[in-house]
This record gives sequence, C-alpha cells and structure tokens, in this order.
Amino acid sequence: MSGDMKVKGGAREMSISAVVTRADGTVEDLGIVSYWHKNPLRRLAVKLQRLFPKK
Amino acid sequence: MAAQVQNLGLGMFTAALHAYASRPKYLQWGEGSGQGVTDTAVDAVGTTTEARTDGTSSQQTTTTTNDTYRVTGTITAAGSRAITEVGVFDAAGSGSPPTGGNMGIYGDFSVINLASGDSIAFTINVVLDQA
Repeated sequence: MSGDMKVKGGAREMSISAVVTRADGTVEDLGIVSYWHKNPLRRLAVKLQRLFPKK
Repeated sequence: MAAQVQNLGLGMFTAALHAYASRPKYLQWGEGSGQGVTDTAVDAVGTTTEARTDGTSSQQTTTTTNDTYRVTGTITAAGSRAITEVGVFDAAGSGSPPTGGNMGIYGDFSVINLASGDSIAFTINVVLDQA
C-alpha cells in the first residue's frame, strides 16, 4: 500500500485521500493513499481493503 | 478516578485549531518520503516548484461530533511530476519551490505520476481521541 504516516500528539487516526484530475478532464479517485490508526489491527484492515477492494 | 477529555472537549480542540490563525492549511507536495516528526519540510521538492495551495480547513465528525480536523486543497502540476508526499504548513512560504513556515501534518504514499496540467485534490483528516 501507500506509505505510513507519522502520527503523534493524541490523534487516533489520520488519512490522506487523493483525487487526480488529468489535463484532459479525466478524473481518477485514488481513495485513501496514506493511512494510520493507533490500533495496528485497524491499520492492517485498511491495508487489506486497499489490496483487495470489493468489486 | 478519571482524567479524561470529554466528547465535547474533542470538538473544542478542533474548533480551537480551526480558529487558529496559524493553523496548518497550506499544502505542498514533494517527491520524497519518510519524514520524521521533527522534520519541518517535505523530504524532496525536486522539480516541484508549485506554490503552496491555501487549503480549506474545517471540523468534521468521524466517530464523535467534531472530532476531526480536515484540510482540503488542490495542487496543479506545472510539469511532469512523481508525487509521493504532501505536507501541510502554517504559512504560504516563499520562493520556488516554496520554503518557510512550519510543517504541521505530513504523509507519504505510493507514487502518483502527473503530466503538466494534471492536479491532485487532497483531503487530509486528523481524528482526535480521548486516549
């Protein structure tokens, strides 16, 4: 997946989502590109969701 | 004995951040990765000469009312780019690529390749919690 975020200071989770718009107007919604949750199981779950998206 | 931040307190903290004149809301992207919590700039601006975008900050609800500080903003590529990181700063900075200000939020990700005129709309969420 995406990279890791460094999260300190009391945050429970952080996420970065990205939507790319090409110069010709094509839109690509990349969804969550970077994610961190203080619960490692939650981090793993999101990583797996990105690796195996529902169709 | 209890020592805790109340649910309403989470909203107070994000409200204070959202009202703070020097809150992190200026987005700058880069072509590096792996910045630590003490770093004050994105890792590698490389050829990314674009000015920082003055993003829009807001309070949002993820689990508890107003527990989330959100920044959104779009950066448009002025040339071919291989974007792998984004930082959120408290000032627009100056120069090309821009420098200055303090980086309050940072994240890196798998490369997003762009051609001139392509843009990325970022949505960055910071969710607070009592523990």
